[in-house]
Amino acid sequence: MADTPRDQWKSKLGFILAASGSAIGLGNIVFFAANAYKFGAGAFYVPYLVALFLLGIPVMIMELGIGHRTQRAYPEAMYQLGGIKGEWIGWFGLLNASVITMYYITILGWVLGMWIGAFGSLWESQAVPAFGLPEGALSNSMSYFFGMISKYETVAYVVIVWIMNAVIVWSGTKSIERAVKIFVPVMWLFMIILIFRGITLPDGPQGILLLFTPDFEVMKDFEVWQGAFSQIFFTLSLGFGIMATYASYLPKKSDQTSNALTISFMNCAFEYIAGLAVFAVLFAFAIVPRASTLSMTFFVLPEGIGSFPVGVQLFGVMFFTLLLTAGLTSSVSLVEALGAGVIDKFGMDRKKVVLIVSAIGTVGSVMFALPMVIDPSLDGNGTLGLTLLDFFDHWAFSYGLLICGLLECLLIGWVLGPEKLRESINPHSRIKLGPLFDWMIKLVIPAVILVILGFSIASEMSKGGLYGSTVETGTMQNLHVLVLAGWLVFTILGSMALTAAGGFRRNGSSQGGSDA
Amino acid sequence: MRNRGNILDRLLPRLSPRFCLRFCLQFSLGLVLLSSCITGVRAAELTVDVDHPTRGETVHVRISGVDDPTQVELSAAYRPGSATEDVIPVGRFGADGSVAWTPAIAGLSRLSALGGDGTAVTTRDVAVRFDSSPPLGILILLVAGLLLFGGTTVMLRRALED
Repeated sequence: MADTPRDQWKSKLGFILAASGSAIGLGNIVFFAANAYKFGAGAFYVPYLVALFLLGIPVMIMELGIGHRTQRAYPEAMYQLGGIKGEWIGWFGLLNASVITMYYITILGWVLGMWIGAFGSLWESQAVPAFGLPEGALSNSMSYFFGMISKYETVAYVVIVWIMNAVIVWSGTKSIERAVKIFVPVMWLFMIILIFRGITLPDGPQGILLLFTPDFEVMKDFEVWQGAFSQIFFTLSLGFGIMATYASYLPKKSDQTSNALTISFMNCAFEYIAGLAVFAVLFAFAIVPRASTLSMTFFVLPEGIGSFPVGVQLFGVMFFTLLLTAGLTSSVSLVEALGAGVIDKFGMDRKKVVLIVSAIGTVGSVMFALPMVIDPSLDGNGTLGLTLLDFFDHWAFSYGLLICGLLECLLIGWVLGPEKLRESINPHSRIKLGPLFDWMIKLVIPAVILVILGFSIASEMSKGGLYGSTVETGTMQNLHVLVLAGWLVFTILGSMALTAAGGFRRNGSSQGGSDA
Repeated sequence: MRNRGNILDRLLPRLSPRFCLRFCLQFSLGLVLLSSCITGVRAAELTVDVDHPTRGETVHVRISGVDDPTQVELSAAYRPGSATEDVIPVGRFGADGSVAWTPAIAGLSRLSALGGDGTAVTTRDVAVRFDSSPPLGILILLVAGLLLFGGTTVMLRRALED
């Protein structure tokens, strides 16, 4: 299938908007602020900037370089660069990303539900019958959220979001480009309006100072650095195979170092302004966030918006529209990366692949939206769907992406040789990569990722058991073990099966990463 | 109606003066107990002199809704709920239900009124202002903004020129 005519971006702006739209997602708006708060706010920002240059930009250049050099989607690109082992890493990355896609779209379904609620009922106190909670037992946003996720209507929201994704990726780069040219500017506009609202709140600017004023005592804590390095990896959509796939649609003569810098700066600039808006609201209303994306998205920020003196509905609708557009540009890239991998491997028709991927994906996303209440006391996550999401997210997001990034660096660093990748990037780039890039890919970045992974495992063990063992799951005592087993089987065995299937190798794709 | 008549028929012969006296005593005792219970469980609440206190400036934190404030201690958690949370005891409330607190760190803080057994009777989240504009914070805000937005502009312009 190596000779299949390749889709291409119509314009460079289209590629940059699509790639930055992929990187800018729910994580930039809420996860960054939640993480920044978790790791000491001002103490977090300097390590975060260091991580951008030390880890984020080099890995972004590497991923774009992989797609650009091979002009293939992630698994085949990795096969061309590293043989069978490379292809397995490619599929592992994509299958892990597909788990994330499934629950990410469930979260977007809930965002859609909250968006509907933002027109009225979200701001009112209500009872949550599924949990036996009377009116006023939870904050308005919490009662609306738990009321919503404990009903089957969320399944309909999930299906709607999947249909939106399928429509956008239906014609490949053409339809993606059309969508991002509307979504990305809308996203920036709404974010800027929300900042102005944030900084004009009484004492809002104090919240901004809080985000940027370093606390050197807290910065001595290793955990702060670990949090900052993880954040950069996740926020730039690294380890998903997306950047390689998007870059594979670029012409051969495109400048990958400039592209990597543009996407990275744009992503972090968006995160910067989102941080301003969120911290201004947190400070103005003295809201202490629980350091999780979901609580920040669905409870903390709506609570802040609900405290606005005027325009609660307007800003609420704007906030959830912003989340929906940012989330869609990211989920589309995830679906596209998976679809492109299948198209390249088996040479199937794009529309057929979109339908298959969407159908399977919808089933997976519905699993995360299951409304059965397994924890009525709300000590854990409440519903079965949210509990599954929590457990799968832990493995796929906190470990899967980093493992994929590590394997990718080891493959490029020690099997292909980073100098070969550099040689294919430099001729078309204004900013030339030096030998330092090779050492970063070979040693520095793998060492950093290994330290982060090691620290995460050690901290998990010190908490006395497998993740989820202390979470209330009702009668499903071993759900956390089943989830871990399910994730391992799906990613490791699934990638083995896909690698073993014939596909492009049978059809003569070459190994070795030639520039042909 | 028949039932009501039967109940009244059974009750009326018991309304002796002794029964009435005992009933009145028990009723008043019940009222006293009920009112004391209501006073005991009325929601404890913390209030601070100013909405957003300033780092280094002493404010008074008051507690209401507890029987004996002197048995309650105040603690301040700086960066509450974060991995870098710092909990510092402030002191016991006085008989007037207030205690002086000088915030040591700017940012979000959680004040907790702790009962004798160390459990929180009530909490209040407070945002502590910086005492003066932190020059380093402003510098990082500007440098990061220039770097990220400047970088985006330059790179985007280059990309579009190409």
